Amino acid sequence: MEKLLITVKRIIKKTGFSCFIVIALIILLAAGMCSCEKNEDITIKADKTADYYYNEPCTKKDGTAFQIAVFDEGPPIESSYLWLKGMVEKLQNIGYLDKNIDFSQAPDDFDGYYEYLVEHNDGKYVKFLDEPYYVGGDEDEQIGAEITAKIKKGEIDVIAATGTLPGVFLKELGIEIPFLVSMASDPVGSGIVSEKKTAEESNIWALIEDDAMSRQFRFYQKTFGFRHVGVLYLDEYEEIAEITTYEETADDIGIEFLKAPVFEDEISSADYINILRNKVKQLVNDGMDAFILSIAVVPDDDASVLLDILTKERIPYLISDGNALVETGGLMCLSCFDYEGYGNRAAMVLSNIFHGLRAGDQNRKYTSSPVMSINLTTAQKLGYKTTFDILQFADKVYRNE
Amino acid sequence: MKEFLNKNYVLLIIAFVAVVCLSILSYLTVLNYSYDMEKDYVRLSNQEIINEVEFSLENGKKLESYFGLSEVLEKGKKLIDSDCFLFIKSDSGKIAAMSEKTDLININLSDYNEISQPIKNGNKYEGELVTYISKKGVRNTLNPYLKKAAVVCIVLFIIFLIAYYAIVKRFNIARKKTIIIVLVGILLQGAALTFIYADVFADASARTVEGIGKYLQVSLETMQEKGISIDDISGFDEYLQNKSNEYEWIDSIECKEADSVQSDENKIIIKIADNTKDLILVDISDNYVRKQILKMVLTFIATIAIAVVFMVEMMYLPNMIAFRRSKSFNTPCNAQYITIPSILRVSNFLTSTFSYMCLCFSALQIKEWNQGCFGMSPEIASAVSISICSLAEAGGMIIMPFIARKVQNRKILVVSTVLLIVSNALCFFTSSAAVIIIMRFFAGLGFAGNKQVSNSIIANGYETYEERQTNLVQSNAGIIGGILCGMGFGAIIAGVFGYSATFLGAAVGCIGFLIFNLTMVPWKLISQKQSEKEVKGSPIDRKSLKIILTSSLVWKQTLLIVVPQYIFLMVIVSLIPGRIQSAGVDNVVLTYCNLLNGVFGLYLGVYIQKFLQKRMNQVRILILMFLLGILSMIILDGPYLILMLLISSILSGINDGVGTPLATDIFIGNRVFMMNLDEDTSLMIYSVIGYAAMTIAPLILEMCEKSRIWMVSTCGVFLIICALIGLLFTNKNKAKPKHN
Repeated sequence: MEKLLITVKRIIKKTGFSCFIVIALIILLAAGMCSCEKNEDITIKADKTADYYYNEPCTKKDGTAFQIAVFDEGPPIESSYLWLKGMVEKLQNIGYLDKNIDFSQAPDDFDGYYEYLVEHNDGKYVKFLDEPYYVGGDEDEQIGAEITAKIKKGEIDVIAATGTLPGVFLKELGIEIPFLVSMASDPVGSGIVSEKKTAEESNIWALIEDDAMSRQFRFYQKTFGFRHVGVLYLDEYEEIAEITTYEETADDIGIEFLKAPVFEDEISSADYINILRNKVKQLVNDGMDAFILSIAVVPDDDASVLLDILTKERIPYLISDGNALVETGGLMCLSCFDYEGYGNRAAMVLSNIFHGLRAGDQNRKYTSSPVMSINLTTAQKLGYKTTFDILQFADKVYRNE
Repeated sequence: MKEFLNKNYVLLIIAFVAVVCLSILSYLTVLNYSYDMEKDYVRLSNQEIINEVEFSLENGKKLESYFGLSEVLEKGKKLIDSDCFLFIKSDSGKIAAMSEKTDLININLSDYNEISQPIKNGNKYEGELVTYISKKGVRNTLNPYLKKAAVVCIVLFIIFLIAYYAIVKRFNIARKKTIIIVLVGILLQGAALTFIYADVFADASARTVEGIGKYLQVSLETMQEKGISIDDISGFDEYLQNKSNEYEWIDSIECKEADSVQSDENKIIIKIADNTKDLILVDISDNYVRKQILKMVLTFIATIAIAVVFMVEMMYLPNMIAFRRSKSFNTPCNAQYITIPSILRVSNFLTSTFSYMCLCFSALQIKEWNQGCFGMSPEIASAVSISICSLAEAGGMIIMPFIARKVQNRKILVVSTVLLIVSNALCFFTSSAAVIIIMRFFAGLGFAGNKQVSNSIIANGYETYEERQTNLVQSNAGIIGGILCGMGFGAIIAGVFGYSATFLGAAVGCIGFLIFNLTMVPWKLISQKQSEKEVKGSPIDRKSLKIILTSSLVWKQTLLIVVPQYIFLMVIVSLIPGRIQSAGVDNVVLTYCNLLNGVFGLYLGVYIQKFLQKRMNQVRILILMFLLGILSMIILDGPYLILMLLISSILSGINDGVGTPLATDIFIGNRVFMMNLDEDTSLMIYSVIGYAAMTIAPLILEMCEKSRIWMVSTCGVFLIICALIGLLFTNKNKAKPKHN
């Protein structure tokens, strides 16, 4: 130490104090740069939103798989299939189903898809019951008893249901295990859940989507710029088809809303198609410059029965819901019901339930991504220009020979 | 040979350092440009997913509850086809989704560039898409060019050495003139580098065009998967035409049959998968590429010019070093007094370079971190980080003369520079806005200390009045040169290495500054001169202060000379950039305005001052400079804007080069100051008034930029001031300083 001090003093004497400071600084700075590398790392973390879900699979505490029962209203339709597909794909994405299962090979109907699922699932994390349950028929009582018994034995851990009917059925059954209802048009109105979350309903999750039809209407108006819209609908389905929502939205935007209800006695008439055609002609005479066909109006979803009237007047032929109607002649359908998205969401809620969260505590609100289908042949007949911007967003494209 | 090396080794070392620095600078400029083009490519590639998300938002979706958003981002990541990360932030600042499966990503910012693009729902801002793209791709592309450039520079340097030796030996040229040979060598190197990197400019420009091509390709392929062919797209040619009109780098976009197309280097051919019939051709605009190359070449030349300026300033070193080793160093002889202006010039050049290198980047760094402190928002904290430095400098300048009474100049220099080194180094190492603000405060104090030392050298490093004037002129020239080089280097370093790297550069540079000053300044002589002057008590007492504050001469000079001169100084800082921005002129013009302003002020100022001094008195020269300043402002309203901007910069530079030292000389030379203050304190007061004037000058010049009436009125006021100067100060007996 003494030698060091003497050496330092000698250096200072030789070079001067100032130079010594300079040399010391250079050494310090160099040492600092080498040892204390500037930390430029940043961490980006996804924020937990109300829709946060557990992105990794888990089993029950005893290591066994969760047992899932699926409920639907029979017979299943396309939306049920899409919902199931969405749920299964998301479960696979999270890891509950083996990633090697090729679901693109599965049949594109609900029953076939379900069968494929059950056949290929290894049952490590989740097991689906051998068959789904269909309610709304004569066997509801029997189904109710069977389900209750299975729940008591511990053979079902959670139920995933589609729409209003299965949802109401399960609610009335009074089961205590969690159950999810993904596609009820009005879960609050139908009594599946209360408007505000309650402790009694802590095992129930229902997806609530607001304003879907309003959004659809606004999109149509923005795209086609119509001022007088005519709507053909079944009077008995006025509520389900949300005609009032259309009307309120039209009023809000300042669009004339021309209603053409089809009554019960007209439905059973032998001349039903002509009745529909006359109603459309009347709407044309009333000055409509855009036409919306509501659900279940035309038989067999054959939209072509009204097409010639509209092509003559070059009036856009818009569809409220259903790709089949676009396939058979409707110009466009912007569906604000993202059935696959409902299934995705159900899978996320399931994952949260499996990780210990309560079904009733999960966020219910959901907004669908719009799904647009378009018929190019109809577009050509109507003189509607299918530009790049529109086609870019089309999810399904149809042509008729 | 040995003798040649002994005589010229300093010059050769400087030349070698200049070659290396120019090579590095040119590479960094090109790298920066390539990064910018890569970012443009990413922006265009991301357009597809932004369109998709905005379409959903217009139809009711919200970013914070957008299911499937991660999948959209994964698609975007594939589109970019480079090492990158994408995430979406909502308007509340929450991370709504990421392109990675995990919830957490760690990114080293030094390896990635960040690109932010807004996501809107109509006109409403909903959030932003942030992309971090790896820098490796660009660096790898430039590596071959870097190697080529390195080889060429080494070869050129060897040729230069041989040529220099041959010319000096053959023609026995004086050392001063040999500097020209070095300059020619540097310019040749610059030309060679421009030629080597020209292809990079062209390729980087083409990258942007690829971005739009990629967007079209992916969109068409996606449509194809859904069963839509090109024939189904109504008005597709018109759509392509509109797209090409949107982007200036595209001449045309066409859809043609594959058989009819021949390859062309000016066309990007996009093949759509599974479609062998049709191709999309994107015709790169030759005009745009030429414009980009020209812009890059001009930026390159500006960079070379800044490097040349730096090197030319360093050319004072050989003579200084030679004199330093002589016995006349530190003695009161003619040769020493001739060297002092050069010392002041280089010293101020170095301190200004390293000061302006990092001056504005504290604010930008804090904004980048989006970090507030001490209860301030990030925006206010960033503004405070700049103003606190100026305030500390102004405040420090006021107390420095008092400190200088008790402490030796050399110690003030060491302490101030150490303060600068440490504060800049800490600014580099820290990730805290609070630390940056505190360190900028200390840096301001450090600048004040160095300024005090510089003032002391000016005030005590002369024997004749002319030598003092030369001190002022050279000191000012050093500042002008330093500002030019500092801002230029800072922009390049910040662009490539990030804002904090500028602080590291400043810290390292300050070490060089300290070494230079400790070795080159004749401290013993300066102290001797200082002690010879009759200095009693404090630098300024109450009586002197009262006399100064009540002196009409001081007020007249302050309001009619100092304040207007400082306003003219700020023309290049406030008025010209404001006019460039409002007129939408390319930023490369600003680079050249700064360059011309610096070069004319730095190099011509001295000669113009000497030329005019022989023909006119000080007052007339000052009026002439003020007239030039007025002209530099008024011509900005004229036609041929770019030409006027350049001329204005030149006039402003000459005004600064001649007018500033003259105004300083007149101000500190008035009899009230001479009788009541020493020169250090007079210079301090001048600087403090200057800071105050520089605070209001941007406001005045901003109004002049926006309103013609303001411009004309302000110029009218300055004309009246010129008339008043002529009336009030002509034939006044100004007290010349006593010979030291």
